[in-house]
Amino acid sequence: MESSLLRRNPVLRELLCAAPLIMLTETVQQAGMLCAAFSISALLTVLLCALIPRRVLFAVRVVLYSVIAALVYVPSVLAAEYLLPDAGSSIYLALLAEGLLLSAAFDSMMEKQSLHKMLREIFMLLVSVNVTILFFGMMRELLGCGTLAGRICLRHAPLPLLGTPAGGMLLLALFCILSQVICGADRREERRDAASE
Amino acid sequence: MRLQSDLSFLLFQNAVFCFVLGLPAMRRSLTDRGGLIMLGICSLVMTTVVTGMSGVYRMLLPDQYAALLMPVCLAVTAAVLDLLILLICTAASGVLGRWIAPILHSAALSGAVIGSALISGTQTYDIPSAFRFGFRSGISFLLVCILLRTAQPAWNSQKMPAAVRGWRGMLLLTALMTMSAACMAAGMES
Repeated sequence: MESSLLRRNPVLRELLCAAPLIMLTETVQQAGMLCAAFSISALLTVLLCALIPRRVLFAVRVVLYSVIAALVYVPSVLAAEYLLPDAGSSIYLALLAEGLLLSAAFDSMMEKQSLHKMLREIFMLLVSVNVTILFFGMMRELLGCGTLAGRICLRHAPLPLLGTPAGGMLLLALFCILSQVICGADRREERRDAASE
Repeated sequence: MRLQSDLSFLLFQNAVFCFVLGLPAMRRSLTDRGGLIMLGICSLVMTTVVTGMSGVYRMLLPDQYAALLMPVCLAVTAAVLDLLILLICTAASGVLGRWIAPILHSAALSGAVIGSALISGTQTYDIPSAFRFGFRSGISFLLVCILLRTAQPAWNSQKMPAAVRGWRGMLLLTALMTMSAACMAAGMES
């Protein structure tokens, strides 16, 4: 789990869903809608793409994957609007599944031979991405507006800049750097332990 | 006047600075053989065609389903265009086809292409203006790719701390450029 959240987190390692993450997570409520939309679209995309035989030419498979990802947009948007009607939908939701196709996690899932292994990978992917989105949304709302899920927590917003796309991008860059610092420290510790043993 | 409008579009309606599109493709292009500039060129071609086609689809699709069906139409267009360019390149030279394939796939799946086409729906009303919007959006993405490629020796330098070196440095630089563009836009407005 720790490895999925830090070392193999596709948001922090490959900038998966970067545009929706930056543009749609100014509040926790919006982050929740994004999580719901991503979970539905990622699950459907991976399951439907897995049905395409591996013997189909790669270039043709990319075309089919792309069409499936776009088709999946329809139910994911409808579900997100149903779950959180106040949050509103956006064109950025259409980029969720398409972005997934660019990640190494998707390539790895398509290479899995057994359904069990693939489902396990999807579960880990959803957990890591959703936790990151929610944490990102919480940080932005707390620091950018001084509220959390609409409730006032701080008298003044410490960093109103985080409410803007530029601030969101800066925060994402800092998250990526921080995860790398933590992973780097972990690796150094592991190496030291191995050497002492 | 037209030049001023084009320049302000490149800065204030930039696909990356304003709409945050194409970051995963840019990050992926660093590990591909073609790199950032080739991604920018492929994205320019695809954005122009796909956004132009979005103007056609807007005329054909029924209004009540247009918002839901548009991404599907755009994804099909981008995917077919990807396949067509790949076929042409492979027919010209097998080596060229193999070299350009991952860049083309990244561009076709990039948010810079489909995102620009979707955004054009709110800003253009006919086919020629949709093509123009797509071209300008593609140019703005290419411009960012060129800027980042120019600064690559700095963010890829051994002097940078290991945690910031490489694509993380690129992202940080992009965020700072986005902030500068936003400040300039606010200054122009005031």
